[in-house]
Amino acid sequence: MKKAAGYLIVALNALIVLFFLFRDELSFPPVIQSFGRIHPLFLHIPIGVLLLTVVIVFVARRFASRELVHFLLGFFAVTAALTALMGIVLGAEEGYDADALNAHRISGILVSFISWAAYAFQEALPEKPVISGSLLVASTVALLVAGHLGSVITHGDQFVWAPLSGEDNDGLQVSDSTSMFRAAVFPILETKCLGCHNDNKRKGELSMSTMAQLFEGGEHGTLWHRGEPRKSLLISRVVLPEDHKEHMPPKGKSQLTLLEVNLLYQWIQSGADTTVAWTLYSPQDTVRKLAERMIATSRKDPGPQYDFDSADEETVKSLNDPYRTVTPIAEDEPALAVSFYIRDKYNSTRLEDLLKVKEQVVALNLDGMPVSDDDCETLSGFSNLERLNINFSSITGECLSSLASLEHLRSLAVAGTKLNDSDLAELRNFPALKSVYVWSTAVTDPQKVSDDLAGITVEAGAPGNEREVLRLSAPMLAEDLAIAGDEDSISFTHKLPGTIIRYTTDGSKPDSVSSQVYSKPFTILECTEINAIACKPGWYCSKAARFLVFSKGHSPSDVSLNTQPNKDYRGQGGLTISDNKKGFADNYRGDLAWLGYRENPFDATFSFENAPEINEIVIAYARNTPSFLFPPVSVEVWGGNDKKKLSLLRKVEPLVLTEYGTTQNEALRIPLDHARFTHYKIIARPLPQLPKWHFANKKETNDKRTWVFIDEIFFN
Amino acid sequence: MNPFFEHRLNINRRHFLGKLSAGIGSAALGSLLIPELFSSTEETLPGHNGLAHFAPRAKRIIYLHQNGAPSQLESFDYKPLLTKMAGQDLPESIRNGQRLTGMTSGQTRFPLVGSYFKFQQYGKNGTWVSELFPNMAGIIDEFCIIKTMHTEAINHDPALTFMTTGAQQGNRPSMGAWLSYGLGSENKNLPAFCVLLSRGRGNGQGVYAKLWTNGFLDSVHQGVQFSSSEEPVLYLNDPAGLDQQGRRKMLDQLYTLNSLGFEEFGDPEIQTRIQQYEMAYRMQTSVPEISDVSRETDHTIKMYGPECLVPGTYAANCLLARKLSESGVRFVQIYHQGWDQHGNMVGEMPLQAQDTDRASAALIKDLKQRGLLDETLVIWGGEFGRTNYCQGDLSKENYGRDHHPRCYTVLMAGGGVKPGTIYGETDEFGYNIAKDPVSVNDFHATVLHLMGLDHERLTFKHLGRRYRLTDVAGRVINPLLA
Repeated sequence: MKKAAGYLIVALNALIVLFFLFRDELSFPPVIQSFGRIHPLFLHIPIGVLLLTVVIVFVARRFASRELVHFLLGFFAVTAALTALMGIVLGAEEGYDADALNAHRISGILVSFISWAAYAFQEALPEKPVISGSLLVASTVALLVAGHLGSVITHGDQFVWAPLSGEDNDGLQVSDSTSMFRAAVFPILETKCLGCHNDNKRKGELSMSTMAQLFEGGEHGTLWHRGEPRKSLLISRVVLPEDHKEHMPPKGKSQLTLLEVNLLYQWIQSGADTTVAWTLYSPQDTVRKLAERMIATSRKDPGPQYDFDSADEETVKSLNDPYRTVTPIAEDEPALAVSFYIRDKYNSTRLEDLLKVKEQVVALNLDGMPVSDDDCETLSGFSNLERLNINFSSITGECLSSLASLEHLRSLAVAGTKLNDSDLAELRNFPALKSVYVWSTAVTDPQKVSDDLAGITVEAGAPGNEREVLRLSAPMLAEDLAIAGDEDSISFTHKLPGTIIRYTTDGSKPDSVSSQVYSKPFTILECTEINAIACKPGWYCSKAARFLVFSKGHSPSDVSLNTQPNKDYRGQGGLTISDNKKGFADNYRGDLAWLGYRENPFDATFSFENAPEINEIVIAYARNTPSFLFPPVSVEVWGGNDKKKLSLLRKVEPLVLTEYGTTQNEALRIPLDHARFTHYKIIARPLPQLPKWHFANKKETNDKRTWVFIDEIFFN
Repeated sequence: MNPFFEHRLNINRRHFLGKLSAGIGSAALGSLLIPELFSSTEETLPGHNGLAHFAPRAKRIIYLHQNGAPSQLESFDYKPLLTKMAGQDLPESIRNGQRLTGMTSGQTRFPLVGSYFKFQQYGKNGTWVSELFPNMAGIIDEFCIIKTMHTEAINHDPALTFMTTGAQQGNRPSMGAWLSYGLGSENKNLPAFCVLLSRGRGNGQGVYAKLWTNGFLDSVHQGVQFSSSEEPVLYLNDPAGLDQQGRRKMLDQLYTLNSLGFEEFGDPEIQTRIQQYEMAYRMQTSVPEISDVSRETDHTIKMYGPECLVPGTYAANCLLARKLSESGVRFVQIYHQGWDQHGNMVGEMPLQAQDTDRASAALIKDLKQRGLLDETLVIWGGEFGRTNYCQGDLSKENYGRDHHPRCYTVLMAGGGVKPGTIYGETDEFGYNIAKDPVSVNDFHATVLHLMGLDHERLTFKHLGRRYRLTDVAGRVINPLLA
């Protein structure tokens, strides 16, 4: 066993030598790379073992058996060698300062060698513990040195002493009078250059510690030529390719950002002044614009300042669900804002859950939740609460007494609650309250409440103009029904509660006195024009809403078009007028519900298998006179049981319109007398010439033919 | 990050954890081997965490977009000189090479024309407002009026696209999508970004889904267009014969299937879809509550005007917007069409104003009385302005105005803007900006700032570069902030 340990140590150290000598030639596979990356973790093991060994050998000597010390030294040697190996592998990766890395590497290897020696001597010369003892001391010293050099790589060489020497410059406050140089230029040099170019290091004989030294420059000359960035060393070194050996900052060090390079460039271009305040540069000036961006990041919008700690992230997460949102007001802010949603999902326990983060909650939105006076007791526990919304809750004045203890409460919304004038007097005891929202409460004299509560804004809502009377909106059909089957009924609705709906079914205008009052859904038996108004005390009755409802009737088994519709409005052929699909009179373009005729008359044959009794044919057409859509000028209805031998049943010639009228869907009703045929032919002719009054007659160039648009034909 | 690489990583992570299943140990080792494995992308992108960069002044936005570009000269930018010089030509020194639209480029003369409608001073600052907007004038001290907005586009589509997405060409995420991405959704039962459309009686211009697109952002940020019918969200109700339990069971099964799909393909859109199903399920409860206006008082209905009871009107949409915003919807975008008065200014402008003035003012008053105005930013405005000269026939009774990108007026209220302020000045011809211009990018930067977001930090990497709502421009206009 012992032997094995000895061989292992020798082997590892041999590997170290090998890796060290050929570190630039070797390229490590990923597995080995990962092995290297454990270095920062693993290195703590030899440190611990060494510490234990030192304590046992020099302090707690009564435990120090030879065997134990030997074991510890062996363990130390193995782990130290492994650590060094890992370090060499890790060091082969890019991104480290070469000098610091080299020193650390050599010192680390030294630790491994010395520990090996200590182990070997303790084994070979057990009678001379002085040798192994001093080697142990030596390896301790070497380890300390190596450890420090390692920390320089990761934290920089000023890390430990910086707080003592007061060189932390984070505290620089940029004010309007700070010079451009101090506010925007020097911070770049400070973070990116000063690490190597300071009084201690003076790399390239350049130090940036004082202004005088900055102006002086280094071994290659001055840093900048005013107005000539391209000739300035400061710029040329920075913009060299990163691989170039003269590039600054050296490869592996933190590089300048594009913004920083631009700023240095523009600053030199603008004359490299070191005294003028940044605010004195013109806002249009490029340097100023770039500087503003630099400064903006250091001058945050001074938002609210909270001195309490953040809540536990997991706790906050666990409090979030679809009906309760708990979020920090901004990143890196400890304060939380909470909102509850969906009235039915609220209960007191869900509010109490929040006590886990009671210190952090500054805004609480319980709008519309059934919050009770007991819940207010809970609310008083949120000691840092600033905004509280309990609109439309069931609280009373008692709640306000509980809330008075909230020292930071600035805004309280209690709109839609039962609170009254005397309840609100309690608000005098609220230490920080600035505004209270009492719209739609039992408060009768908000002005007086406001006067009594000096310093608090009482918002009671915009006073409505009591004398203002407005016209109600028209009633609507509960279900948008244009074609009614036997089982369909008509029902009205109005969104404002308490309205009375009156209607007519004969096409006349309803009035607010004598027309039938709507009480329950009703059915229709034939094509009906319904007109309805809504009335309510304190409002003018609405305008009449017109609903043209067709009765579905008998469906033909076949429809054939004998003439072609206009090519732009072919719909879906014969199906168009028998599919129970209505179109809109004002939005007919591109709608397949319509057939449009202009050049030809509408001419179609409808076939029924069993010749049902038909008492009325209803042609549903569009009236849209500005767009030339007119009623047909004449309609013929032919009927018969032989398609080829039909006889004329009826011919109607509707009156030609004398004004534009409303654009709307219309019905042309043609009564028949108990007709029982298997075939009907309907011909509808468009008006060949626009009426005189139509605007389109003004221009000679217009095509003055009108259209007939039909979307459906019913057989009742 | 390269999507292919991202996909590989997604696969790796799952397989790594799934196949080795050695718990934390293997996860830790995994992160040692591939340091980026557990960071979501190559760098932690700010804004990605759904938190504000700093404490916000406003939590929500309601944007009342007046689509088609209402004339600033008949509304909030009073220019008596135009009335005095009516009929005279616009001096070339003022026009100064401004390009024209195809609609007036053929015109030989550019006769100036003043407002047909009278102006009067309102509020503490004596702000001039046209007689067409009596209700907004009544609360003029609530507004912060920017008179010097200017844009790069001269036609509706690019201008509207620029105003809503920060770029003229389209396919970029809309403002609401950026906010949803930047701040997340407050109420998980509703979309973070809702869109409501209405149509006035004036000459209209189209709106289209690209205005509320998520662009390259995750599709969960897309604007949800509410229907203007009785049911604002279509197909939300369970079909006949399916009860809540059945629906839940069906969704759970669907979730399992989708998760399997995600396991296999690693397409993040599958996860988006899973989330959308869940939200739609919860919307079955939240939406009926929101679309129910029967609980509103007569007083409220009167304030918005009785049209608010008719679904699909501007007034109804304003009321719905308040209810959505009150329920935590981050961004409600209203588009009201009909403001494109190339001709018939005298006939159409009053109709448009009549349809919008009362409800716009009511929305602000309503938010205020509920204690919500100070955390809700309300924006009113179009996509550009209108020319100070007449398009088409100029008569004593009527005239028209063409598109004008050099200046227009936008109003903001609530949400951390300084009330009772007028920012910027146009020249006395109402043609050029005399002082304090505000570009569309500046406007966006300011709005984001009010919402607690740094417009330079709210980025998304796409096609190899980082995009912002303000792209490469924009600065916060500090004097607008309270």
